[in-house]
Amino acid sequence: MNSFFKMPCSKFKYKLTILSAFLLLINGNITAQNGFSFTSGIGRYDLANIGTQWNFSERSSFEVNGGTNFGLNNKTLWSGGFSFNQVFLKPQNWKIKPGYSVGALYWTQNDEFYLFQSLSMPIMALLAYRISNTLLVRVEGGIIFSTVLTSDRKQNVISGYPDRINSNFGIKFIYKLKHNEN
Amino acid sequence: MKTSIILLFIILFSLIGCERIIYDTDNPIKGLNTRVLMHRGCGDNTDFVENTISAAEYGLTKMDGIELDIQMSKDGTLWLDHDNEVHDCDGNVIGCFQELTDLQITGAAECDGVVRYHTLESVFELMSAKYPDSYISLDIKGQYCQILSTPSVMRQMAESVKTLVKKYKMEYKVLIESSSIAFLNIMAEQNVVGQCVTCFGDIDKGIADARATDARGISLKYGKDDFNEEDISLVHKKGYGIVVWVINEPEDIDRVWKSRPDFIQTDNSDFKKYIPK
Repeated sequence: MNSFFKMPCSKFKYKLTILSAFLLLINGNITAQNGFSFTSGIGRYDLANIGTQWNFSERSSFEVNGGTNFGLNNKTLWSGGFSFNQVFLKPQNWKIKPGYSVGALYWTQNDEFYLFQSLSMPIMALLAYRISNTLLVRVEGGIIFSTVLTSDRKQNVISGYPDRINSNFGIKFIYKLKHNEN
Repeated sequence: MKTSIILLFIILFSLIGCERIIYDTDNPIKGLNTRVLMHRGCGDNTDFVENTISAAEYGLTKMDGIELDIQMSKDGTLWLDHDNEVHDCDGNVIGCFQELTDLQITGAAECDGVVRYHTLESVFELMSAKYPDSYISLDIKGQYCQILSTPSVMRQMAESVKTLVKKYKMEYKVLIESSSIAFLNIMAEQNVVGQCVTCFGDIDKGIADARATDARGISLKYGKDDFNEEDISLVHKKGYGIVVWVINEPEDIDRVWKSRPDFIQTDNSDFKKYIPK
């Protein structure tokens, strides 16, 4: 009888834990269905980026984006990542709302010396300002932790390595694609 | 407001090219004539128990020096062993080195007339008296039994090494291999021991770690497919020494020797037969 009530395998327990954490993080009315937003911006590690954001509520959102540096400064950078963003709505009379953003970012840098593929985790504070009903601007600043996945040195004269802890900053425009009826 | 945002946008656009990579400056060193160290004292010679005083003496008679693994007891004494755990004669774990006193370790040391645990001091005493020109590399093992107190334990180990080096006048004869930042930071405060940061194949990471910890060299684990002879000259060009371990096969000996690292560790007692002329 005991074994009947036991979770059949650790994989199921793992998925249940992740789902519970996800629901807890949302921390809002997920039936509110605030819909998708389009994002674009510039950041030190996010580069010139575009993406899409799912708004769980007025406070919380989940963003996926990709960026590039267009080959500037003799190197080619690409990035792709996701983040969970939360804005504190109180004090209500504040026009600029503080918040935070955490996520993960995969990026590559290719130049004449090296090809690096890295994974980074940004932890950011943010300030959000609503320009209109559909347009929000978000300025972010914080730190980013990086680890190298692969490195390929193309020569034997220069040696270098990605900075493991660095500052990160950026600005993002969020355009709400579906009008919030709640 | 809009002007401020546009201005911020322009500033940020100019900053997306901000460097994320730290490049090492050139600080070339000539490098030493390559020396060979016997791994764990006796290498692959099964007549000896590795990391013991008799193994050390065997290695010192065969090669230019030895490499030994280092642990630390609760009393702060440096002992020789590869594993953090102390075993009794039946192979059961009686505790970790840093949890046991010297008396407890000594009590467990002898089995069937063979003493399995020796102190580093006994080796330094031997080398100072009989092998003053030989080298020794100390592989500082992470004290993982008590994870929370590890940085303070590693700092204490570093101070113990410095004390012994000074006591037995082993300056410029001792190398350290460690991946502990706490340990390497203490060793960065001196210049008579060659502290090396451990590197498992990615030489660029090794150079970056050496830069970050002010290490004097890199201790590189040899991989047949990963090893690039030109990496050795790059390491020297950036101002670091290099130890390569463990080289045993004749073709590897030939290949690595020609790249001229400062030290090579081997288990092969016949290493010197395969050195290219």
